[in-house]
Amino acid sequence: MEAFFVVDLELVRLKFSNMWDAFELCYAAPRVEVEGVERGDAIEFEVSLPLNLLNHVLVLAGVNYTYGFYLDLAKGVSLHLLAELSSSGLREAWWNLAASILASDLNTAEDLFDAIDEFAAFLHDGVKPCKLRLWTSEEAFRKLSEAYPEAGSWDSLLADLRNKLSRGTLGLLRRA
Amino acid sequence: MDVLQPLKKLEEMLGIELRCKPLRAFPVDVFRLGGGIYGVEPNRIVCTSDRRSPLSIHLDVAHEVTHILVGDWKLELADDVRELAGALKVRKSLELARVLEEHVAALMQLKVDEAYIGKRRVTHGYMENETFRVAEEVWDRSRRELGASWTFREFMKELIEELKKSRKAARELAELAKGRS
Repeated sequence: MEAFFVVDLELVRLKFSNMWDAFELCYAAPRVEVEGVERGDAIEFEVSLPLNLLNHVLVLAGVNYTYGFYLDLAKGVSLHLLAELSSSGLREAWWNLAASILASDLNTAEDLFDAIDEFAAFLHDGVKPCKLRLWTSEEAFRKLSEAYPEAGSWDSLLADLRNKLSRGTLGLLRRA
Repeated sequence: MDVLQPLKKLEEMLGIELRCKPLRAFPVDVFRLGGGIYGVEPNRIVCTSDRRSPLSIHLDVAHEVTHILVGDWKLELADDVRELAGALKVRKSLELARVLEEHVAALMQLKVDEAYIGKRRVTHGYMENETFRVAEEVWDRSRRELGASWTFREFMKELIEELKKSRKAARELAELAKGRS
């Protein structure tokens, strides 16, 4: 007796006599496009290598998370480095760095390394960043701190970040 | 995106426009179907990158841009938040405000999704929370009752008042705010 493979997609049920076709359908990641009259929405999409590199490391180190990405796709990343990053203060303070990278106009991997260096110099030596745009401003934080005194001062925020994002931790991130 | 206009839809729903246009969205390979996506003022967000993203990009836009559009409420209603924090016995009122805003961003994610999908579906972990249920109830009621005079600020004030009445939401918010601090 011939075997059939019934694939239930809820909206439709497809019956295959060929296992390969059923398999291909089930494992396909279809490409979707939206067609229609363009009406404009003031959104610009841009691919940024620095953002992709940074988030790759943050997710692999387990300080950020993802759905639907196979972690086995990670190649050439030192598990030792990732473990060190995972147990570092980056876990609690990754957003401040990641948001600063997102806020900045960076194009290349070198730009990312420079931005991490600038972040370290800003936090630990008080050097004003050049390429890097910080996730917030002292003025904006002052307003927040006035409304919520428990947020502390700008200086106390930076001291906390210095503690969590030590030179060593930022150096590890750069090497990852 | 130009066909669906999710940014415009969100701006219409909130009655607030993005100050700095265009919105700049950066697809990140490691976020295929979702994850720890984030944004930063005044106009940048990270978004998913997948062959199926046209079916879900409105969720990223709705959630992350909500944080950018409504962020000032935390300053404007700081007294109300502190009062709520006192009622819930939460020590860090800023963390409470952040947890509350996360629920509101999830709510806008749901409302924009509903506008395109035509039905309600869960796409964020907070959508099954009691706080979310209260927020949605207040949203629907205030839109219905206030009509054209509806503002986001009034919605937040009403939501804060309503949350004081819900023991279940109070417990949940207190736990979530504690977990963040």
